[in-house]
Amino acid sequence: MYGMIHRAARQMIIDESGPAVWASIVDAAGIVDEHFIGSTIYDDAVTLELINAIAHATGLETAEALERFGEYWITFANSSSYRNIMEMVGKTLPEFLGNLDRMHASIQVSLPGARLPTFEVTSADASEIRLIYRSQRVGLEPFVKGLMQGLLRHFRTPGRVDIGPRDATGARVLIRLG
Amino acid sequence: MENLPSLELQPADLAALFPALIVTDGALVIRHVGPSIARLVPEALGGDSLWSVFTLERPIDPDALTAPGGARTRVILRRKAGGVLLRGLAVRIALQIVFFVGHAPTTLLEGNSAGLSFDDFSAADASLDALMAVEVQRATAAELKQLIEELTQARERAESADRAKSEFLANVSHEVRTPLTAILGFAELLSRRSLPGPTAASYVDRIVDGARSLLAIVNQILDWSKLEADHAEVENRSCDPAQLARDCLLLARGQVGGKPVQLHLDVDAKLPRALWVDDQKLRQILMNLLSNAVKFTDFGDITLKIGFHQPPGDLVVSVSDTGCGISPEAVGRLFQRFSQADGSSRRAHGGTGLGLAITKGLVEKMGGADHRGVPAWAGKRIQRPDPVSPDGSRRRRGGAGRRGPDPAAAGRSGGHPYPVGGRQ
Repeated sequence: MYGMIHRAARQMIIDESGPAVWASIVDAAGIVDEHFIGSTIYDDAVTLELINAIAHATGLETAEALERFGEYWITFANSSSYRNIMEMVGKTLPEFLGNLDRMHASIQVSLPGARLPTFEVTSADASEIRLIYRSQRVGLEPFVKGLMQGLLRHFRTPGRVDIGPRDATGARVLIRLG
Repeated sequence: MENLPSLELQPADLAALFPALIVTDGALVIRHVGPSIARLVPEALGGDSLWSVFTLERPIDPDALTAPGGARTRVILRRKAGGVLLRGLAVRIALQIVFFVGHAPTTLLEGNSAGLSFDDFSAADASLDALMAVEVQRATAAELKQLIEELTQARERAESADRAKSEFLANVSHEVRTPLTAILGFAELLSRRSLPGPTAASYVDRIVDGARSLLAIVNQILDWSKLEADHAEVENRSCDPAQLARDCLLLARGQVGGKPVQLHLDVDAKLPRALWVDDQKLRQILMNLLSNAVKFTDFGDITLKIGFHQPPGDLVVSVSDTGCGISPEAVGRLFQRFSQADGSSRRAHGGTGLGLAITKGLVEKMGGADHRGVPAWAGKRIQRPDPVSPDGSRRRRGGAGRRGPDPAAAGRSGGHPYPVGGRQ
């Protein structure tokens, strides 16, 4: 995964639990260099160890830790050096979600080794937005749910997110608005 | 090659491919605009002349757009009301002129400032990818710059700690050598010749004093080492805190010597007669604070105050004195290891500089938090409370999520101890 994910995880732990806890997570995950660079691709094994260590340190189940991280990630991205990208993707929730796939496709030009997910908006109206999430990675649906919840909060839109289990077509995301 | 078949584009596809499309008639009156123009240039919807909405930056001669024979012309249009710059081709198709133009910000920031988003760019426009790539590079450069700053600061902290450690070693060597020299010197004198009883006795006293000083220094170093290695264990037992405070005050009286210093004890009426606490560590904390106060007070008063705040069930202690005072800037260094307020203090009063740092470490080990501050008036120094949770069974020790104490801002006014909640 690209390093921006790891940078966000680091900042989340430092913000919520302090540098000492982050140091213990780095130790537990066996990470040698904790200074992640956002545009660098890191082995998925590093990400997995990091997620497990975070879950253990925070006393959460892995799925819950992923969901909380997903939500935090949106806040992080919007205050990081990538905020211009986030703003260009869309000025409203439907616009942002509609351009999410294009953003990933565009970033892929700069990160040739990245295996980025796809998001396809299948329907959108005033009451709900439906997407299909597809990824080569397994088990990140809770993170995606957190991302969507983070977007709702970022765009100050009340709503609820449900994500179904993955099938042959992907995982179906339903955002109920209001 | 066969002629290209005519393509019928659905409106949605046309909008996606040409979101900034402008279609005029032969007289350059606007007849249709794409969704991006409709959103960003609402005045273009009025059916007016193109020139009432845009200025033509290219071609230089506007007649080139309508001159016979010119099928395609490169154009740059700028919105008169500002904020929009379009580049592309003007193509004469039958009686219409179609402006296949698009937005061309040089950076994403410029695009965001103009109110643009992905939807304003053609789905087939690769220039957006170039903008994104530039932005990713810019973001990476910003991260690296921040990383360099963090590593530089870390290096400076490490170098500063290294210097402090070197100074400490030099200081401790001196502190150890002085009593050792006295011990050896007086022992040698005693061994060389027979001396009258009172003289010999005084020499023995000096040897004992020297040995005690040496032992105190060694004990401090060992205590600090234990804390550093996290080997110090908390062993709670039932304890009468007021009696403990009285005992410590009595010992501190012995350190005053001939100085005109009075020691006082202020016990909160709400203080329980029995608390579940590590009395050994509490004794050490009180003695460190009192010894420090005795060292830096040449005349006046030293007051040990011990209280109990319920909730949250914290033991709160403070020591105030009429000593030489300390600048607010130096307060931050007080509780750091190897550090006294300043070098002149060490030279005048001696000491390893570990006492208050050990105090801080013990308080943290017992789950408390340490606050310190200096009141605004000069010549008076007040040491802030060390709260200790009395019920060891309820307290959470160590583990993830426990932060260190927050250094109090120097210069807080008022000489009152700050009750600080212990960890539950």
